[in-house]
Order: sequence, then structure tokens, then C-alpha cells
Amino acid sequence: MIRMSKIFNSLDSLFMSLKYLFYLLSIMGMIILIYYSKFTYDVFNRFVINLVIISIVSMLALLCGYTIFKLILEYSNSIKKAFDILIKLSSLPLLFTFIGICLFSYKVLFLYWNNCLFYEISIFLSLIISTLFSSLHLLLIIPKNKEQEYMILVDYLGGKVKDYFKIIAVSNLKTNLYIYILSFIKYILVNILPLYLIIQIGILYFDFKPVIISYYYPYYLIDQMIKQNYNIGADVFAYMVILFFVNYFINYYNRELQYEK
Amino acid sequence: MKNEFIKFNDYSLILDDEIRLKNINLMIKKNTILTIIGPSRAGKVNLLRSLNLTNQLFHKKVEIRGEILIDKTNIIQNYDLSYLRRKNAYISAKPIMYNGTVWDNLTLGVKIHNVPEKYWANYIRYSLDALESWEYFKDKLDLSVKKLSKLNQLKISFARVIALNPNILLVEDFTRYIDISAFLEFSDVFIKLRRKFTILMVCYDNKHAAKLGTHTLLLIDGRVIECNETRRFFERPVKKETEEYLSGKFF
Repeated sequence: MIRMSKIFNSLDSLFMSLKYLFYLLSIMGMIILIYYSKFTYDVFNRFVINLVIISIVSMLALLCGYTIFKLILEYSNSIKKAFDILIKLSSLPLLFTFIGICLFSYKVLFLYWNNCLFYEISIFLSLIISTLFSSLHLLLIIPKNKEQEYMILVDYLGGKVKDYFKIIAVSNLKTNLYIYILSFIKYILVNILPLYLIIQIGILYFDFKPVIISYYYPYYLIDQMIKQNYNIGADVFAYMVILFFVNYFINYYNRELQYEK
Repeated sequence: MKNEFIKFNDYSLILDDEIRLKNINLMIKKNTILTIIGPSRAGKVNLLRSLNLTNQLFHKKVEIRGEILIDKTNIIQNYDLSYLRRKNAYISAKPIMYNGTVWDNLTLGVKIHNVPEKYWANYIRYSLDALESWEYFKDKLDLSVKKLSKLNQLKISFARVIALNPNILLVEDFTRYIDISAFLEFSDVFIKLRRKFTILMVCYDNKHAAKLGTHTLLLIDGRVIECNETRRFFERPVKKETEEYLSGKFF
């Protein structure tokens, strides 16, 4: 277990370093673009639209997450147990990431689904569900130490899940609202944005072949995708989401292993 | 039997496939303080938690055999969990203080059980009176609990459950979290609580068990070895294992 934890730790550090590298490169790319005045309205427009989509999906996911959360907890006698179930449930992004990867690979390998509505909807659904569960997870992993005690306290006092929410969680959320918001923004900024920026800029302006990201995904698949030159925005976006959750999962298991230690 | 309040009938508890309590047969009268002693992993806390079904919070698989009767009702079959935990109130060894004021903490229980707000002050007054602490806390209700001493935090955790008017107090050994002078100060109040409640308390120190209890129970490996009046238990134990335990053999 300790050995596994070490591997995950190293992977986590590696991903973190890569993220900062991407950050740096994206900032440099941005500066170059502005310098050569190539950052046109069209690029900006596409960028903003995608950001708006991310925000709407995230908000929807949070809302759905909260509803599911409430429903499941309502039917459980033990708040602590319900949280345990939910933490397990929130690890579902792996499944949806897997579905996303399968669809993506199928499309790129067999080139069947060009502009196919079914494909777009599948990717989009996979994105929504993944984001939903990961948002849920984000909300769940923040209450880790003190909140566990509070859950037990409410259980001891004969409270139900709604009491935990009504009295303690809401009050904690109010006090720590900025932590929740910052964590969410941080997740999007650190995981999605730099990669998205660098690839979008690279593809559009520098005939970029993304060797730099082949670490994450077999190069030829990306190459194929770019050669096809169709609807690149949606593909890259889906790809970003997949990356996001792979990275997220490494973080997740790393943390779980640390708790088990 | 007259005054029979809590009764364990052939009660066994298996947690995650490990037997923790074996064929417990025990009768506890009303308004007693039963101090529970025994070596580590004897099942003391599990016995306590059996009375408000909180073992289920900490273990995935819980198997129960036999029955526990409280006022002749088998709590394992017929219970409303929320009501059961209100009436058989559990007080953990380390006071869990919810981040807020003294008032926030005191009213946590009554809020959970939907007591109308206009009665809160009465409930809190009642609970603090029971702990002889109203005079001390009446001007400190808006104070942050973080500023309270450990003894006062302990009193808040007692007051919080007493406000719910329980019948039984299930108390983990709080003596480890307060110093000796605080213990001496609180022990007198604690002993007086038996006028209103039946108390079961886990003790890790035999001296504390002897001071606080009216009755004492020795558990070893999930079995009841001896349960007797406290003075008799310590001065003239009936079982050989009790003598050995008290002489320090099991340590």
C-alpha cells in the first residue's frame, strides 16, 4: 500500500509540474499572439463560448449533485455511512471517462462518426455526468476532518441527514463559501484552461502537432484527429475533459491512500 | 424484577465478522450509575453503543443476536432511531464542539428535534441547572466555545443532550480530557445526575469507576465477568478473574 502511495505521489508531482509547464507555455503563447495581433475576435469568441459551456455544465452538475446528494442522504439512517457511499459514488467519473475515451478512440480510429449527432451527444453526456460526479466529489472531499466529527455528533443526537445540512453544512458552507468557489475555479483553471489554450492556439496559428501532450495520449490518435480537420473544437474539448479526470483520479487515489495510511 | 430498566438477554454483537460481545445477560436498575471497566478491546464502548445503536456508524457489518429491553421494549426490533438516540443520549469522551457560540452548541439538539424556538431558553435553563452551571453560563451564551476551558466544553456537551430530556446517559470516559481538579469539581455534579437519569459510563481508570459508580461491571473479551454494587465489587469481588483484574494481572 505504501509503495502504491509512493507511485501515486510521484505521478501526482509529475502532473503538477506538467500543469505548471502548460501554464507557462499558454501565457507565452498568449503574449506571442497579442504581439503579432493574431488574437482575433473569432478566436476570442470560440474561447468564450466554450468557457460559457463549461460554466453552465458545472452549475448544472452542482445542482444535480446537490439533489442526488440530498435524496440519497434522506434515505439513510447514518450520516457518516451515507457520506461513505457518496464518496464511492462520486468516483464514477472514471467510468464516464472510460466511456469518453472509448467513443473518442472509436471515432478517430474508424472515422465513422464525422459530424454524427449521436457522437456529439454521447461525448457531451459523458462530460456532464463526469463533471456532475466530480463536483459532488469536490464538495465531499472538503469536509474531511472536522466535518466527520460533526456528522457523528448529529448522529449521536439522533439527527437525520437534513439536520446535518440544515444546521451544520449550511453554516459551514456560508463560512467557507470562498474556499468552495476558489477550489472549483482552481480545478478549472489548473486542469482545463492551460491545455485548452495552448492546443487551441497551437492548432489555429502555428500548425501545431501536439507532441508535447503525447505523454497523455498516443500521438497518432491526436495526429489523426488533426489531419481530419473537422469540428476540432469539440474534440479538443472532450479530450481536455478526459485529461482533467485522469489527473483528477490520480489525485483522488493519492489522497485516499494517504488517508488509509 | 422491580425497577428493572435495562435488560440484556443473551445479547451478542458481531462487528465485521469479529465477535465483540458474547451472550451478555445483564439487568440495570433505574437511577444507577453503572461504571464499565475492563482491559482494552473488552467491548466496553461497544456495549455502550449497543444501547443507542451507534455501532452501526463505525462498522460495515453489524450482526446482533439476543435482545436489549429498555422499559420492556426490545430496542433492536422496535425503535425509531431518532427517538432512541434522543432518549439514550451518547456523550463522547472528547467533547465535540460545533464551531459557534455556547448558545449554538447548547441548542443543537433541540434544533435537531424540532423543538419550537420559544421553548429553547427553558430547555437550556433546565439542562444547565441539572449541571449546576446556569449561573456560570448565563452571561456567556454568546461566547465562542473555543474560548471555553475543557471542563466547560465537557459541561456543554452534557447540557446539549440533557436539554433533550433523555432517560439514559451513555458516557465515554471523559476523565482523560480534564485535569484532576476539574475531575473532582465535575464528579460531584455527575454523581447527582443519577437522580434524574440512568447512567452507563466506560472507565479506563478503576479509581474513577470506584468514585463515580453505584454499580460496576467488568468485561473481559466481550464477556461479563462480574457486575455488582461498586463498593462490594472493589472490596469483596466474587469472581477470581475480577480479583486478578483488580490486582493488575490483565495489564
